[in-house]
Amino acid sequence: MLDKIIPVSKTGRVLSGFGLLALLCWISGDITITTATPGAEFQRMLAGLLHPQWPSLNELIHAILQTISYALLGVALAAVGGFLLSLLFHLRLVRVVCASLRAVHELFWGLLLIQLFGLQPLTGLLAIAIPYTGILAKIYAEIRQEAQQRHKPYLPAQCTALSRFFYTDWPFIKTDFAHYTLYRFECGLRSGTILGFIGLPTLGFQLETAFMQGHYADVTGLLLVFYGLIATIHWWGQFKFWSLYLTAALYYLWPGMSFNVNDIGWLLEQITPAPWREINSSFSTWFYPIVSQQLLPGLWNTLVTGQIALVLSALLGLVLYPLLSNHFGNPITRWTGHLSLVILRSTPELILGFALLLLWGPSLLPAIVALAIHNGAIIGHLTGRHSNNIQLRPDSAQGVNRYSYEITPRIMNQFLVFTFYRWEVIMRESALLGILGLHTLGFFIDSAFESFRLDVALILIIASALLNIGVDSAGRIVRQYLHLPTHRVIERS
Amino acid sequence: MTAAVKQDHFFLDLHCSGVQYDGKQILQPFHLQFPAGQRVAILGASGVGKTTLLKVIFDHLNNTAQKTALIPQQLGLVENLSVYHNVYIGRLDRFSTISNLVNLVTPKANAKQTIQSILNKLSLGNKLNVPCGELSGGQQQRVAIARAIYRQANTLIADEPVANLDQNQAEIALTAMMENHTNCILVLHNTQQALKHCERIIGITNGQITLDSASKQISAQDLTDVYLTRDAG
Repeated sequence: MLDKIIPVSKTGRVLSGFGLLALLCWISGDITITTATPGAEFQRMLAGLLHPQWPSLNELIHAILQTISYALLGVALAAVGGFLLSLLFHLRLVRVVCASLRAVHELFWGLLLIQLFGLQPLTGLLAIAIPYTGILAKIYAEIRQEAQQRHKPYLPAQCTALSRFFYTDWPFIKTDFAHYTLYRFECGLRSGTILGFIGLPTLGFQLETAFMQGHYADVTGLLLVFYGLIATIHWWGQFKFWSLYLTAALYYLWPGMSFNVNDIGWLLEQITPAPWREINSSFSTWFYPIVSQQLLPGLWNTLVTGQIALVLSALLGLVLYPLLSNHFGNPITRWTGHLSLVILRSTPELILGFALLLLWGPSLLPAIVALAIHNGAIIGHLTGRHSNNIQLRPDSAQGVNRYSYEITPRIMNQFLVFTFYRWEVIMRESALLGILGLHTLGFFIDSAFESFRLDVALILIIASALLNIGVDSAGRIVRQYLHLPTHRVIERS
Repeated sequence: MTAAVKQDHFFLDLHCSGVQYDGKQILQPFHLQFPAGQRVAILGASGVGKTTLLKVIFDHLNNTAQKTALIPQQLGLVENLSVYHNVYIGRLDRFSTISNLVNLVTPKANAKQTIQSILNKLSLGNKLNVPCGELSGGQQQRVAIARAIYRQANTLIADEPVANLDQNQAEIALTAMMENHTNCILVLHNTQQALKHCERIIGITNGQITLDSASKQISAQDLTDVYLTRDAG
């Protein structure tokens, strides 16, 4: 009897484990709708959605240019830094440094850098450049390693490393490098946008203002501009224009940049734990309340949000992938499906979360649903695209039978790769969504910055980074246990 | 392309105006009639159009809504699903969607019994719950055969269904296929098997039907010609 209830396969066991955990999290977490009239607010949003408006052209162009400039300069810096670090990626120290850089969300870097530079371009572009350096170093190193393994046998044994690099590695990896860097540029645009939520004058700043004032028509207009930028990036974002763009971006941002070396000393002092700065204060009396009142509740809520969101994203991905799979529907449904998934996955979680927060009030629910929608759309998109490689027999079933017996079992492994690859991202974002006011780690980090307790903020940021690194390795362990491939996943269509 | 089917005499009466692909003539025009109850083997060197002919036949049967069991060369099994579920797919169209979905989680007892007995015949008795991806090529081929048998269709269309089986297993599998289908059209590459199990042999050379005769009347020379004239055309 028991073997009928407990799934026998490894996949079944892992999936039901995650499902059960999510259920427990749902029961024990703070998940409610607290607003009295969510329906009325939703109607106002819907009305705004149907009648888009734009703020003055001058402001709009300024916000767009700021967003693009941060993304360009940030990604370009990260590409150079990431490339250099990728050459040293065999060193453990470099790998640890890169892992730490990318484990901290760009908005947390932004919050930290604001203390150093204030609200100015350096903050924005470095907030993107620093974590992206860690990401690109890892990806570049992996691409290079793959190329080397492929071509090593065909090379004379005694050639120098440099000639090996330019004769075998570079010709093969340059397209992969370019491809991934451009994808990162697209991510950079999203990051640049949401940096507006901490005060930088990008599209996100205007979005937040419009949200706060309930000007949903402006929100729609700004989102349309944002989708337009992302949708046309293949056309205007090509590398051949980059030298022109970079010069222009530097020229545009240069007047706003300033830097005082003494500020570094001040920041270092501020982030040193208070008891080490002052005499007569004990570390434990300072540290204990931080752990019990901020760190543990923040970690707990982040985990609850992340675990539920992961399972919901996976379910949503499974429901959504047929929308753009060639094995289902007709060209019109597929085109509509494709468009809706592009919109859902392009919208940053932070913006979705903000809208849902206004609807439902503060609890973990808005964060969970925002994460599930965004990541479910990404998983659905990747899975649907992957399903197009499948060739079916001429006598294969149709409709739900085809979905459940033919396609879903075949895409299951790749679907799990996509899902577990999103795990770390979901966890990082669920910490971040706290800055909207829900009590995940981001809330406590944001509050610590607001009360100028930078030492506390740093400890909480380190905690969130460790959480991400932990989830990243947990994801690797699960993938190994299920014998899933561990290769890179590129979201770009 | 096709004329009316005289259902009393023929399970298939097929006029085909030829098949072209990328400007190349894959199959020349032909007219083939298959009397009910006949077992037919299609022979020919590789690349002469056997699979295309089989596809034309299968599409035609499908369009005339005749229930057909198919064993394609690429088998089309679902590696992540168990042997049981892969065989069960043969009857997906006979149950409601709900019942099919439930069967994914808790297999049906009676279906399990039927499938087990088919698998026993094909020496796969101990593989019922094994995922198909873990089976060898020959075992997978037998799973595809089991699915075709489980489908309980009058007509079987199969493309080299025993290519990966040893002689003994091939005999058992062919016998099982013949027993469970009234009408059979098989592409085979082993002429001995073809002559033993089928009453009629159709030979194809370069897209053209060059031999169509009862097995009993076929000489060794006829068979050699089917394979030899390939370069001449």
